[in-house]
Amino acid sequence: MLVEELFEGFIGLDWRDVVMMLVGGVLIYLAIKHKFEPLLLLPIGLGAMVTNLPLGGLTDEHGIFGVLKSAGLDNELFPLLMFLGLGALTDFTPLLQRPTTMLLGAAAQAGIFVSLMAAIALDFSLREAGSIAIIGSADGPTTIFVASQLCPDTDTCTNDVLGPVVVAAYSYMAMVPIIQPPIMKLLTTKAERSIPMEYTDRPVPKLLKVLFPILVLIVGGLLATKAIPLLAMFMFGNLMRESGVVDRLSNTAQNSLINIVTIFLGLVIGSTMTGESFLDLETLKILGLGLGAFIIGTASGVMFGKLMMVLSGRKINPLIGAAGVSAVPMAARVVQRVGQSERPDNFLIMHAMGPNVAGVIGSALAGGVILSRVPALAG
Amino acid sequence: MYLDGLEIAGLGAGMVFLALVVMLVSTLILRSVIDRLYKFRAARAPVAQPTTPTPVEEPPPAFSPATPLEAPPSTSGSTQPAPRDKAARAAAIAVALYLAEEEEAEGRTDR
Repeated sequence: MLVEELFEGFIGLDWRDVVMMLVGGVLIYLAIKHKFEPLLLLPIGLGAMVTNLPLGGLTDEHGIFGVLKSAGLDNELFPLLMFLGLGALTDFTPLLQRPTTMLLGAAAQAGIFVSLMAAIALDFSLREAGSIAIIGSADGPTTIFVASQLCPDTDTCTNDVLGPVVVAAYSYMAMVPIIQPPIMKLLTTKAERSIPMEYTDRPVPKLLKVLFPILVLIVGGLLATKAIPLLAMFMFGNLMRESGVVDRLSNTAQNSLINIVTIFLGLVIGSTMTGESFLDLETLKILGLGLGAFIIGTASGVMFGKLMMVLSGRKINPLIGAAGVSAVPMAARVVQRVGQSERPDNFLIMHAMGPNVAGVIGSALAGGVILSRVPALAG
Repeated sequence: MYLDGLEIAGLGAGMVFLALVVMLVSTLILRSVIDRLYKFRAARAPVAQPTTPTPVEEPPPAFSPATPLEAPPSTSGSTQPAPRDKAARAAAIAVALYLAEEEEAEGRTDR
């Protein structure tokens, strides 16, 4: 009896718990060793490890993870606060210098809708398919926001998809430098990748920078009503930044607030990665579909970039289309790296930042459309 | 369910494109309006008249913040008023006393 009490932790240990603790360890390793999205993979990894320790009670109603989940994830508070911080960190100047690149941010969202169809074909319910498809937005807060509303629990969705979806989204975002270059090279010729784009620092009036977030909020909010919370928080953050009159608030949103929310969000997401919900065939399918969404999003962005290249008389390098998948600023850096590997004097990063930030708007809009149509059709 | 998926995919892709096209057009219009506004303002701003070169005035002597403007710096290092100031103050007091005595002598009481 005493021995059982002493070793109750070991006795309660299941093989799936051990595997999930190892998965958590791999995430921590990737964060520390390879710097793959360390701000999120580190707390997610630790959350996954701790939550799979038996009898800890952390995910119970009054356990710390349970409290954090009900306070910030079940009601979408954390992803929205993250979006506030991201808005304060985003500079729309490159987009406003060349507004036509906004269309690339729309083209790269194709991965979301193609993977939605693929998920349905793999026997996922409409709600699950919508949650999986949003991985293609390459945007963490949008993914959490949409997936947590479509599949909040196992009563609504048969499979517990939230944990695998979020882990897939952040893992693939971290692996953008590995996933994107082969697709970019496959779909473009060497001559196309070498098209020079000169950067002229065209001044953008401050009035335009202040009015742009308001304009996006009104237009986006009218066309995709369910995207209003995401757009409102993002654009409020950006307005604080561009107005220049609330530097203290803007700095708080950019630093303290987003850091605190990142810690809580990472731990809570990690705590959803329990052995029972994570280790099944469905998770493998979700990871595969998420990868497919990233690949199709990149491909459609590059193909639309090629169309713009033709229409502009070869003044636009099609590689910048790949940055439309969001994943700010990693995707823009990848464009710069691939472009420069073909032509060392070609600096594409500022041109790629335009579609990159447009991708954030596009993915929020796509999430809004999914949130409005899926529940209406799924019931 | 395939048809539902197709509907969402078609509607979603179309809506995202439409929204970003509307945003693009609105941004271009807004930028054009702001550019015109700035040009209009610049055109209405008073144009500087050509002037003959004028001799540049010497800048006023700079004071260190520690030095009170009322008291010019003393070369001796003392904080007492300079002798010329003492004389001026004494003269002012003498004039005031003289005027007061004269007014008293004339019997003016309207003060």
